[in-house]
Amino acid sequence: MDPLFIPLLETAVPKEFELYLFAGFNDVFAISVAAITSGFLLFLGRAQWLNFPQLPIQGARVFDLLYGQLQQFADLLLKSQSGKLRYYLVGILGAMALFLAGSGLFVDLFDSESLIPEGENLAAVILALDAMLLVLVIISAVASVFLRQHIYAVMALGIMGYAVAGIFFIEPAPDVALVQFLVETLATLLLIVVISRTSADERQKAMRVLWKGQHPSNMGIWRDAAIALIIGFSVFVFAAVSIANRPERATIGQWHLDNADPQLGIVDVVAAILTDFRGMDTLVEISVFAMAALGILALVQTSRLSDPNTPQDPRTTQEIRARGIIPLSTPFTRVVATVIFPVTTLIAIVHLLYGARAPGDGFTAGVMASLGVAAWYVVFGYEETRRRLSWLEPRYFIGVGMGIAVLNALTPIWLEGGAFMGFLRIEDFEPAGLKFSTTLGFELAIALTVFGAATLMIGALANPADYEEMEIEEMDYLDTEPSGYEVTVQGEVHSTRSETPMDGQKSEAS
Amino acid sequence: MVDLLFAITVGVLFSVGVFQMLRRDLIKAAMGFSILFTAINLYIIAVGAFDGNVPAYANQPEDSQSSDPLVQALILTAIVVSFGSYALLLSFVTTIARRFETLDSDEVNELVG
Repeated sequence: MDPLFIPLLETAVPKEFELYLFAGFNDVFAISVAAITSGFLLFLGRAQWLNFPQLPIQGARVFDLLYGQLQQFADLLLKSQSGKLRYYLVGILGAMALFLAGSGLFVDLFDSESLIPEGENLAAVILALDAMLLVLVIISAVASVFLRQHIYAVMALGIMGYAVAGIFFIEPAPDVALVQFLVETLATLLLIVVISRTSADERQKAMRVLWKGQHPSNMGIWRDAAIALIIGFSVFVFAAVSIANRPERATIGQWHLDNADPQLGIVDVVAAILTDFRGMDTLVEISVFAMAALGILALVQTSRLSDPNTPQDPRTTQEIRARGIIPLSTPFTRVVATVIFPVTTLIAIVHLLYGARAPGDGFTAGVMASLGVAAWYVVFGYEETRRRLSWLEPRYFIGVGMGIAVLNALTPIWLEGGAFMGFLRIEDFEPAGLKFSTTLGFELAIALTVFGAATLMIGALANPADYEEMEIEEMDYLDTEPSGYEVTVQGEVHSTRSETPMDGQKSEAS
Repeated sequence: MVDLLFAITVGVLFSVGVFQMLRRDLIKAAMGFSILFTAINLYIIAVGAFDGNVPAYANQPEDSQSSDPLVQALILTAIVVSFGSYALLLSFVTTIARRFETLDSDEVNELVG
């Protein structure tokens, strides 16, 4: 252990120091003795000073006075609330403007000093930011354990993910930071969807027993904590060893930096690795992603088929439907959602086209576009989104995307030439800085697959538990379901219809 | 110094993740997985071959040092795959919540002998 910790600790603890149980009679010792003795004497003579004649200034009266002042101040604060949104904005932005004006920024500007830190100054700024973000990561992760409301724990987790994205950004790894921001947003959204899909009763029940074991002695918590601590410490030692012994500069990373532009004409080296040098990995990666999405679809669909072992659901359709996502459907959110979808699609297209030159690639394009669709699911609800986006059949997107990707991977093997994905390049034709090569085709394939898979995940999870009645009534926009699914579903619907008068009326009306 | 903090953060995240994973509440357990994924990504970025001061792009000035592109490509793949498996895990949770009408994993005990 010594060779590991001594170099790490040397920077933190600069000087040698010694500890004694008793360091001899010195000033500190004398002061301690005096404090303890005088306290003891005060206690002994308490009968004398407790009945001391009343002083002109009494503690209680001073407290009353201060308390009254505080209340008046609070009243003043309350009265100063105008309740008008724009005044609050004026307050916030005005304070910011004052802060900027008072920060000496403009003085520096006139002194023509550089505002951007350089050299050692920059290194210190980066170090401080890194340390702050790492501490934020730890705090939010620990908070997610102790927060007793699921939604708050989800928020804490989201903060952790964003802080990690910030660390990536400082690294500097803009591509990774972008993906982390997008994926964290999508993951948080997904978790919120899952929470809204489960009933509040079940969640409260699970929360109540969260810190309880089978046995009343509750030893399980300590066992879990011990396991977690041992694993955490082992990982810490492992991480510390490998961070302290990082490889030197002459690595394969440098080779990629040197060869991305000459060999492939791709400026963004990370994108070059993903789409060309290690293109096969990415092919497998999007296959896994698409497979996960199809797995979710299969899981959610089969779980909707009635299981003979579980008793018939005694709840009414209304109760079940209340478990679904409550659409946040206000005029404002509807406008925002409607506008945001074309915007995210546009950003996705830009990511796709400029993947070789700037942060963002096929994957971020796919996630970006699917975030727009996710906003629709949250705002309009499942049913309306499916009706309005009837062209959106995620399975076809996955199919077409995977098809292009595999074709793009196989063609150079047949042709026996060039780099992996970018085997064909159009030289000397760069409108608006765009470069056309088969890599772009591969990026498009990634984007289509990821878009399909992500919308499939959100759609499958956003689909309210027993939505079959609605689907039967409006079957015209849902025509491609497997036949076995429909038959069982219709069986269920008949049973529900006979039970609830609501649905009876509905079927009469239709 | 910040290297040590990186190692500590990875260790703490692993502790917290494992502890969350052992909870009875299924949603909290799923959150534990998410914390573990994040810890691993943080670890990979910390062990990159060189500390860069500019992003890993080909057209950087001569005197600058690019960050290691290889670990970044690794993390990108890791983020995508972990998100896919995380989503699958969440759909398991919803399915269990529907079938057994509980989020307490102790009540999902059909395998009891």
